[in-house]
Amino acid sequence: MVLRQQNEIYASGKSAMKEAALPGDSENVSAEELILWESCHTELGCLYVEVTQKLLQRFRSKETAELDLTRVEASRTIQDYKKRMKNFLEKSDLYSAHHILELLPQDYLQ
Amino acid sequence: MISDEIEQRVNLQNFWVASLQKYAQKINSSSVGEAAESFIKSHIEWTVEEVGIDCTIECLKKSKKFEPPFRSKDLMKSFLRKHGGTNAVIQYLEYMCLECGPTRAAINLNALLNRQKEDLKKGVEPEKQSI
Repeated sequence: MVLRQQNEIYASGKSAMKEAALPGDSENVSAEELILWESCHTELGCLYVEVTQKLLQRFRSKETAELDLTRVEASRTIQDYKKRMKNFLEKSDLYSAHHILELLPQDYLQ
Repeated sequence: MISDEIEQRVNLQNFWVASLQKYAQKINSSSVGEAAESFIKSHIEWTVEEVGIDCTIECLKKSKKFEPPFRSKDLMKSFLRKHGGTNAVIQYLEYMCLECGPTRAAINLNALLNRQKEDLKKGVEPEKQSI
């Protein structure tokens, strides 16, 4: 499911770049290169989501699938990834933030 | 006894890291493309168990980051994932994206400066940018 969504994000990002066609862009970074960087950043964002989702599974109740937010807050690994992802979202401007954030479980985002 | 063992391990680790760095330099000076990629994989594969994925990534950082072998999906996804799991891929991508790569803001600024330079060369007065 996540993989399919990742592929959709890549595809939409690439087509958007082709439409934008960047004549006269930076001497150092060609349009093709920029697409590569964009997919690199998007991939990193998606990997954060993938890992976070896997980790969150451990804190879900088997019966109700409800997330135990107290244990989530106490988990060092999740907090570390959260910090790294926040840093990425702040520093990078080569990805679609809302697309990536939408992949995270709603009960975790609230 | 224990301190001897620790020292031995540290020496061994330093040896592997130094070897790997030499390999990285050799890759940069001689091999290109697919040959370089196979070269990296075959030599890192046997060192990764000795030095661990963190050191391996540090060594990879010492090579040319923007050249094809280091942008190879196979190397990044298959190799790093196989040896260090998703976390290793994330570590490497964090380095590539947040420490080495460009930002859209920098690219746009660069493009703007280039356009202004071209305009100046042509003798056209550069357009004033509205904020």
